[in-house]
Amino acid sequence: MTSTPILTRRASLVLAGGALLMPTLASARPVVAQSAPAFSGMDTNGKQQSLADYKGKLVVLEWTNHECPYVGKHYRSTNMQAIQKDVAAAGGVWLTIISSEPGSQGFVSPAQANELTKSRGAAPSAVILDPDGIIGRAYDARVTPHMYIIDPKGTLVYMGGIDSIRSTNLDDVPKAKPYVRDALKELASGKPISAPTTSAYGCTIKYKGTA
Amino acid sequence: MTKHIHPWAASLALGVALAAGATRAETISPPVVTPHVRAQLVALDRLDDGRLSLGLRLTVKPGWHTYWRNPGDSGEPPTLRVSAPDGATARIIGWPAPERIDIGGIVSYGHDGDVLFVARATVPQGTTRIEAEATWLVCDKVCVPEAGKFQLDVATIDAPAAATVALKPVLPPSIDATLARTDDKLRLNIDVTKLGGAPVSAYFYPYQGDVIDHSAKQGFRIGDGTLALDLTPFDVKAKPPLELSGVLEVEIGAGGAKQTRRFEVLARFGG
Repeated sequence: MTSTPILTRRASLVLAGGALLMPTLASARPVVAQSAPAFSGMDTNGKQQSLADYKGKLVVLEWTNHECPYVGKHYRSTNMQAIQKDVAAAGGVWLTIISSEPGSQGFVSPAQANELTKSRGAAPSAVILDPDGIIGRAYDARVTPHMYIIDPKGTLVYMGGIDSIRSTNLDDVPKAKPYVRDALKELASGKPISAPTTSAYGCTIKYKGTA
Repeated sequence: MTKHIHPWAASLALGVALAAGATRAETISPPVVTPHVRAQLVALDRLDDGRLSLGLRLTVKPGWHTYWRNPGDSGEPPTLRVSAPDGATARIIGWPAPERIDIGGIVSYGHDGDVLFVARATVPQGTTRIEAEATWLVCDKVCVPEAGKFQLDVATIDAPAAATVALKPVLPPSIDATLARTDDKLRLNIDVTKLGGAPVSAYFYPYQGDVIDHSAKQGFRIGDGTLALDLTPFDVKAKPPLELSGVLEVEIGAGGAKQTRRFEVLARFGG
């Protein structure tokens, strides 16, 4: 193994030439209808996950922090798990990404992350640990939950909130406009997504270097 | 925003004073004390049409903050609901001046310290006592949703205490502006004479949460007596809005004479 151990352990954003891009803050946001930023990162089972591996499949990205009350709303109501299961049943890929830096809220070890998946009955294809925030910054993910949908061609087709009601109240889940569910439905039936960019709401992601 | 050195400590001291039997100077609910916030509902006034003006006072622990009507890129604004008597309704209409809370480049709009959110409540005629529920999100680096239930006797409403009056949000003077699309930005053009001088800095807080990118830098330029403020659209592909409203905060003057002024801006496209 010739690469540095740090790069093998940590998420990296890989360009076509193999160069490592360190996205600066307030760099261009990803734009819907354009190619989704490529990334790769280590999952909680020690497997390297690359977006490129999933070409030909629908991919959903979910930024999470299990201690954030907005994330709690969608797991305690089982809304998040239900969407995960639907995506899996339709042959899609669900990547849950944790960009909390070590020592901050939401940061977990691989074992803790797997335990959370089990105890919450979650059904992601993989959970990627992004403690340096490289994938999060590349997607300009700002809050948890922040959601992205990438179509089988690798085009970003949705980014924004899980739904329309900015609250931590479980009772609001059925009342909200379910943006991600709606987008998935529209995609599946070949329709254009009616709300491809929406406001995400939640807790600020605890990125590295934000003290 | 008026800054108190230790609003948290001061309000606790006030609580102690009240508990010790000091004269009740205003119509105010018993406090709800959470780990981060001391909350009270204050009756500010009974309006001529019978509606009540209520204040939700949140005194937040140092280092923690609550949120403005548009909370920016994270968080959520407080809510107030009158739960009794039946048929009563309330809505927060008066918001304290927001501040930017920048955590690693992700910008939210909120408040620290001691703030008063003003609500209008419609209550059935003859109402002498109300029950209300408020929710608020309080964050430092982590966020905690909190809630409180309040009981308030409104048979007679005493004048609010000076400290409460001082916290009442002031609606800033209203000015108009024009809105233009320039390349990939939304540009606010404002005649500087309306601001009382050429500002040295400016920031626009939109009322709506999905029009501009709250975390993007706002490009600031003055030329030909016009302040041009470049805002980054939230969705670059969306059609630009016909109108944009919010609070403009400017700094005017330099050094010790520097002043912060706020204006409510209504910008119309093209103009």
